[in-house]
Amino acid sequence: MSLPPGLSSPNFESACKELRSIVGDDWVVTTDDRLTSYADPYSPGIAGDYAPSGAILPASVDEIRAVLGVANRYGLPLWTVSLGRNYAYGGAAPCLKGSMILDLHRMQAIEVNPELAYAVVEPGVTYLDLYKFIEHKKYELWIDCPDPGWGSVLGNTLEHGIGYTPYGDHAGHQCGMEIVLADGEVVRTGLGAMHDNLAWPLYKYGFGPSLDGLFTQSNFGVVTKIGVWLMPEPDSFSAIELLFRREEDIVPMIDTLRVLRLDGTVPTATIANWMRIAAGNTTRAEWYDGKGPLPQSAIDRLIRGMHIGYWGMRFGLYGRQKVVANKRDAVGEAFSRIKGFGMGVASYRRGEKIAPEHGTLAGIPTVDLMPLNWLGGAGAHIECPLVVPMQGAEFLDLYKRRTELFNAEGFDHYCGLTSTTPRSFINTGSIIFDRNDAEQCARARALGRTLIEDAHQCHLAGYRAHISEMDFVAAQFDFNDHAALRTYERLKDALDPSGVLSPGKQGIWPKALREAKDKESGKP
Amino acid sequence: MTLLPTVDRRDLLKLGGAAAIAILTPVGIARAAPAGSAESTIVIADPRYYNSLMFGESLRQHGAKHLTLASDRAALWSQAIKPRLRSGLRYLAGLTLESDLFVLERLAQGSGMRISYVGFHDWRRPQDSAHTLSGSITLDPIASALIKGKEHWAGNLGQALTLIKESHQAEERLNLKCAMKVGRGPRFFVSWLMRWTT
Repeated sequence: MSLPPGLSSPNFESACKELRSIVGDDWVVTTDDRLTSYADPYSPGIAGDYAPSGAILPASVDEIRAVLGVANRYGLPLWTVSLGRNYAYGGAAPCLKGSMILDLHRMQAIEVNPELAYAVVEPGVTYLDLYKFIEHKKYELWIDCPDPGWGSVLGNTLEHGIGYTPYGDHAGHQCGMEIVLADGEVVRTGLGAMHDNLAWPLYKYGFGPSLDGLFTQSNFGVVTKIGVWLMPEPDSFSAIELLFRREEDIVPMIDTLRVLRLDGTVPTATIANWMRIAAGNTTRAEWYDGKGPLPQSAIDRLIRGMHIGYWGMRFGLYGRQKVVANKRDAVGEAFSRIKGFGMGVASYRRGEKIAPEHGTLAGIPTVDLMPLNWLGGAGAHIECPLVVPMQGAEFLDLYKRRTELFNAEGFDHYCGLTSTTPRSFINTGSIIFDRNDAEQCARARALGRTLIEDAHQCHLAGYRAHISEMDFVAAQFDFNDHAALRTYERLKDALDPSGVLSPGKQGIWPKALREAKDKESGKP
Repeated sequence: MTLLPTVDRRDLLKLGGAAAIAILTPVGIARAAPAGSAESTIVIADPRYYNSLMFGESLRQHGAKHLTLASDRAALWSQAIKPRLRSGLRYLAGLTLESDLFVLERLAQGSGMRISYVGFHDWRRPQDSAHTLSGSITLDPIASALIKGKEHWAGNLGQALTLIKESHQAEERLNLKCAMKVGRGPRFFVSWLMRWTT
């Protein structure tokens, strides 16, 4: 078992004894067999470097406050997770080896206001739970969920996760937050700062500075509750799927989509290259036996054989029937200027059963990890998705650059673009590898690092990263000698002076560990 | 994963725990061994793949409840599998893509599930197939089924699972290569068995 740095075995045992007295014996985990579920399941061969010392599972805010008291007294680092299903980014595993996992999955309260269309959820509520809750109550509301949808609503929102309906920007549709600070103080943001304020989950701001953003992708506190806005079930919904033949079609595709996004015709939209489409439905060896990336001839054969395009685009159109019909016409007309384009439409009225393939566009959570079978073996993926401007020619240049980098490491280029906001895309570039193959793991790590470096050269950055790359990505944010990171560190030192909360998350380390790292690296 | 040296059939037949109990018992024997009755077993089959269907069918013929892998794995778990834990479900088996084992394993993790057996079946190299088997069960019937199976390997593998015995010794691992072909579709499958002890 890994011990927290600076904590002796007797002190760790003593801390665990106190923690057991708070949450009960069953909810403090220190045995190796039970700790395996907190390891990074997609780790590219480095899981041992991020092994936790144990896990504690409080069930209430009061228990969290008591746990923090023990952690502060012993200097026990806690790594907070809601469910730990953030798999491409490390799962439940901590940045700092030997941290104890603060697992909040036992906190599962859900409250939904059907009239004002919002929910208030605790960390252990999954998208599946929230969906079922609303379905059971027969509320005419939709959730927005990521794909796969088995993670925590609160956890995904705090990590700036995305979905596929008009509410796909999850942090953008969060309203109201409850946080336990490291010293045990409980804070509510926005209008929640007033006891029992009626508009807390309705209006994002309060009186004074807005605090919510400080607690997303952060280690300044433990978020125990958030409000999320829900989408009224639309009168009608059309799932639109577009197909484009050539690699260079991405230029007019993006430039056309941008106009439709900015004028409000199209909400959240997703673009996928041939590999993302193929990996969702087939495996690589069915098309090519050789080593290295698929040659163009095999890609062409796959595209023809699967009757897909080089690119696909999909989005939903929502609203009253006539409005949706007009939007469909506008979409068809706009994209018909691109030679060889194809368009498929599936339309639904309120209450109609939605086909599984259109589920995510209607906020129906599912779990299917088919793309991870692309190479065979024990599939896994890591990535550092970039935020890129919605400009076609510029993106084609980036795409070609990244294809070369993927191919140079022997991988096929998996590319997705999701626009949850109208001016930019989240550019996913999953590095899919066999987690049981040491050589592939090494190549995946190398490619991950190269892609981050290359993005910086292109004046772009990732918005999330695997735990092993959080420091490296944080270092890319270099304006005025990393003034933003230095500000985060000042906040960290003020709010968590003992440095017990999620050390290293997003590259933010507490003072003592920063100094130790500087000393180790010889930095004055 | 560490691969052991290739073994031949004679070596395989020597393997097997002496202190073992039958688990996925055929229907006729189930009455004598209620803890291992086939009614306590669910087999998952992926309708996209012939081999998965053949595997599922062979277990179904021995009394296991046959479920089709739904597009929503989470719903399959929460609606069709998890409720049966209260009414005696003890074993869940399948021949699927690896991602489906990954998902079901994690969904089942909080319910006292243990993986008893996993076999990786790999046809990515054109000349032969490679099989990596591991588990706390006697692996020799599975290995024999694969070696003898040829084009009927998936059905034979399911059949073998009805005969296997739970070993009380440490996890066994076997690596073998067989000259057998795979049909159209994926070149990599995983056979697996989960067990609930409570």
